[in-house]
Amino acid sequence: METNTLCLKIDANNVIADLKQAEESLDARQELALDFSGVTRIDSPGLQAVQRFGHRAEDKKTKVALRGVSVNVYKTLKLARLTSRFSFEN
Amino acid sequence: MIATERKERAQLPLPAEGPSAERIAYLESLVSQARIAAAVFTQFTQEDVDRIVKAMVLAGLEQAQHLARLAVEETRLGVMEDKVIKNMVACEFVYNHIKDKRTVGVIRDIPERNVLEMAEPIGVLFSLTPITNPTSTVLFKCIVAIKTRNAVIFSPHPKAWRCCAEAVRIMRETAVKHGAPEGVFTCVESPTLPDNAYLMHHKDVGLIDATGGPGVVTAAYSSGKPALGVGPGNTPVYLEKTGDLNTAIVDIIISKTFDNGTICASEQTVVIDDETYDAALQKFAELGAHLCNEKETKLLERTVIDPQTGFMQPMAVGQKATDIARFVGLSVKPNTKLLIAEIHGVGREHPLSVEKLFPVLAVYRAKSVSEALKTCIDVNHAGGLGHTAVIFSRNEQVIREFGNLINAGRIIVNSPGAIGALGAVYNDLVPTFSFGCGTGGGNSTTDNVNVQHYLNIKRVARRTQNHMWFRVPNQIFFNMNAVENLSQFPSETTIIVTNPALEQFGHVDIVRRHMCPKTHVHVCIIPDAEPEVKVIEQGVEALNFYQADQIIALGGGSMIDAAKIMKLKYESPEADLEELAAPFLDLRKRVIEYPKGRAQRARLVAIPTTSGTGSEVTPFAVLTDKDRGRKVTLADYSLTPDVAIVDPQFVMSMPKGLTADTGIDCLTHALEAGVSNYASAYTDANAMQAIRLVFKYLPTAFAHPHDEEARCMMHNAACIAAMAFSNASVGVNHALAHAFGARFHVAHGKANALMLPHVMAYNAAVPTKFMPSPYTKGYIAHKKYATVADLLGLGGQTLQEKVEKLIAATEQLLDQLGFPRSIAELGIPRDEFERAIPEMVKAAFDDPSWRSNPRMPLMQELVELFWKAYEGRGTARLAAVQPQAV
Repeated sequence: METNTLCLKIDANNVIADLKQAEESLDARQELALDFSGVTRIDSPGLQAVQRFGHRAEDKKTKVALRGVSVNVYKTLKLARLTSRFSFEN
Repeated sequence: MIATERKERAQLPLPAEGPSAERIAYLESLVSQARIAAAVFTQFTQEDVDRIVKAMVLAGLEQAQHLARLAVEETRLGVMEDKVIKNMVACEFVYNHIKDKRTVGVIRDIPERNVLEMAEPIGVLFSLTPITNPTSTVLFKCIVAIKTRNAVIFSPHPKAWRCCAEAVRIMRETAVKHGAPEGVFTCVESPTLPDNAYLMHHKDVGLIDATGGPGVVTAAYSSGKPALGVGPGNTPVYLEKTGDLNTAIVDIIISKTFDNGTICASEQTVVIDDETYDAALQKFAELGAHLCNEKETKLLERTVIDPQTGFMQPMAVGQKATDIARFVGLSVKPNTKLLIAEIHGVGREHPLSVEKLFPVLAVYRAKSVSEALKTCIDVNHAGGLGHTAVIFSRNEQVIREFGNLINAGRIIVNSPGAIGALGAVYNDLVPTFSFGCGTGGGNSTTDNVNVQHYLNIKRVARRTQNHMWFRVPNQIFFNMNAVENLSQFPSETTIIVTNPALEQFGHVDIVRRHMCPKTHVHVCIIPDAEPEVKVIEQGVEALNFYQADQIIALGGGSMIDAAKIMKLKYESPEADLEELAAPFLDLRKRVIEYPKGRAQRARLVAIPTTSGTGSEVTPFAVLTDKDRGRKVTLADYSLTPDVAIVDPQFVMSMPKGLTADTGIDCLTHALEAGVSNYASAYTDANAMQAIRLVFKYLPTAFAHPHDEEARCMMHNAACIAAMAFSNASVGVNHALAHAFGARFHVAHGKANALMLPHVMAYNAAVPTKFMPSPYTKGYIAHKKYATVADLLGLGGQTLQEKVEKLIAATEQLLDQLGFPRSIAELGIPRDEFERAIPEMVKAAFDDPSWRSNPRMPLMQELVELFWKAYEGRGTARLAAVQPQAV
């Protein structure tokens, strides 16, 4: 298992697919970073995908950091009770 | 709300068993969807939600008939045509009310209060909807929820589930199609009591919105969640004799037959004045009502009211009058709209006096207005508290009396109760399908529920600096022979208030010489140094006797204070000095108001004969109440003299001791005003100048009493310092000096001098407790002392050095003036002082002087300050000055 942190960019228009792809990296990594700096608004399917991804990461015991999350998206994650599953980096 | 709902939902929230594990998973999925939708919704703009709302409203209007038909088919209640109208009102009228309302971001800017109101959605709402108005309630709640960016989980009444679920589906699909988050509206399938209880207690549900009977409302409020519980009614109607009978009867019929009486705001008992009773009943009959005779009334009671519970029978709810007549066995005309039964009282013995959500109306003949109002109160208290009441009258006084007596969130005047209460049709009430019933109905609001109840309103309150002021007498004349200016003030009768010594010195004669020649002058001699109430009363008698139009106060602070109070009582005899002296925190917000708008009967001219108190320009007056052994302080700008004449010729013969005492009083005023939390650029200018003059001229005035320039400048300094503290107030030094001086009979100036260096060191240090003050930015007392040190050219590099040098200079000045430098030096035994401390600390803490002090004095700190003053020299050290820390 690799210990260095892989950082994956999440495209604002492709959140679900990008997270799906990120799920594939969970097996091989202890730590993973997702760059959300391009995501300024998130819809229900996107949020559900984040929720699903969080569950999978928890199952795999992979630490996931979300980078560059905008304030609005952060509040949305907070209200959806998803922030405790991730760490956040600016 | 009907009896079946009461029974079915009354046991909430304590069902015997909770939902099964499978059911919990289902309910959790609903909550999860709603939570995510609500979270996503927070990112929406006003334009986003307004676009979705408009689409939903159009969809609701489009489907109004479809939903009405479904509702009637499923519930077997009401009138299809009326339900169409209700659905349309829920869409169109509600939209018209909310379309321009801001519900996202800043919803209201209140610049005059420096406050912004901002909207925060609630999140997930759990909504219980009734059987009586099923689809219209769902449409209304969906529209209002979207407008406020909330998600809703609906739990319709089981007997109206299909039509409600369809309404939810239509709203959800339209909303999502136009951009709303998925999962924004869900509907619990086959809801049960355990389901409802589970959701009511769910941590992610932010608000319960329960429209229904007392069981639902009680369950909602018992859940521990914020809840909007809107329950049953029992609408009394007062048909007063001046009311327009034609309008009233038609309106009542419209309302009571609308959707077969299912709206809980509809009329239940009409109380009619005797004078118009027969005509009213005849009119009802002409317009299609059946008037039941005594026998028919008995039959009706037994059939439509449950004798066990006293509530209406479910089978009658929302049924037509002719169908009810048929159940009961009454013979009525085929087009009968309404069954009317006379009752002779209210309560269990009069079954028809309760809520009847069907077209049966009780009527009561009242022999007087008083009887009518009492009967309406009885109906109101028989299950309708907080809900709705109706009056038909042209008598405004009766309408207001009715409004005052009846506890109802909506008091509808000269209009139909049901449609009137819904709002926006017959009046300007907020349109709703949820009536708040206030505490009378166990609800949190009496409002017509609408968008404001679905929002958390946040208030962004910017720091507001209260308006400040700088108020001094209109005219101040100063320098040698300023008294000559008296001649420009015409007066027929003047009273000179003074003391015997000043008369002996010839001061009164000087004043007389400079008055208008035709003025009748009378002299009021006040013997005491500290005037008391009786003396004031005698002075007021003299003013009244001579009808004085001018008062000249010639003397020290006490004399001028006495004249201020005499003028107050002369112009406002009703003024209660005891009341006016009530404690306050902020002069502008205090409870007691001084007499306003009183006609000025006399001009007050103040001529000080000491250079310290500055009473000639202050709004304060101290009076001795010997009977109670205390001093009473009055403070109001209306007490400020009209004219001040600061003429040093009256202080040239002031003894040395008095020169020193009053001079240090003046310095204390200026120093305390300078660091006061109420200080402003205006008061600072005066405070700084006064300090400069005192340091420069007081030693000379003390050592060389005949030095005209020094006397003149000290006289000016006292007045200038007083202008500062009149507007910025004083501080803890005065509070301590008042308490100590009163307890040990020490002159005010001397008491100030004993405290001053210690208080300066205390104020310059980092406070244990900061004093809340909107006027100052940060803690600046030490900086202001440093500014004084610079002004006096005392040197020093750092703030601390400058403050130390100012304290040292003050101590040096006190030495020069021969002040004792410790309380111990006064010969006060240590044990006696120690015993007095608790009493002095209490008095000092009660003293309003310290309210503007930059540092909030703690009791223990007052004790320490008293001990420092007792020990004296060498204790005024800046132990805690840490300028960088503040």
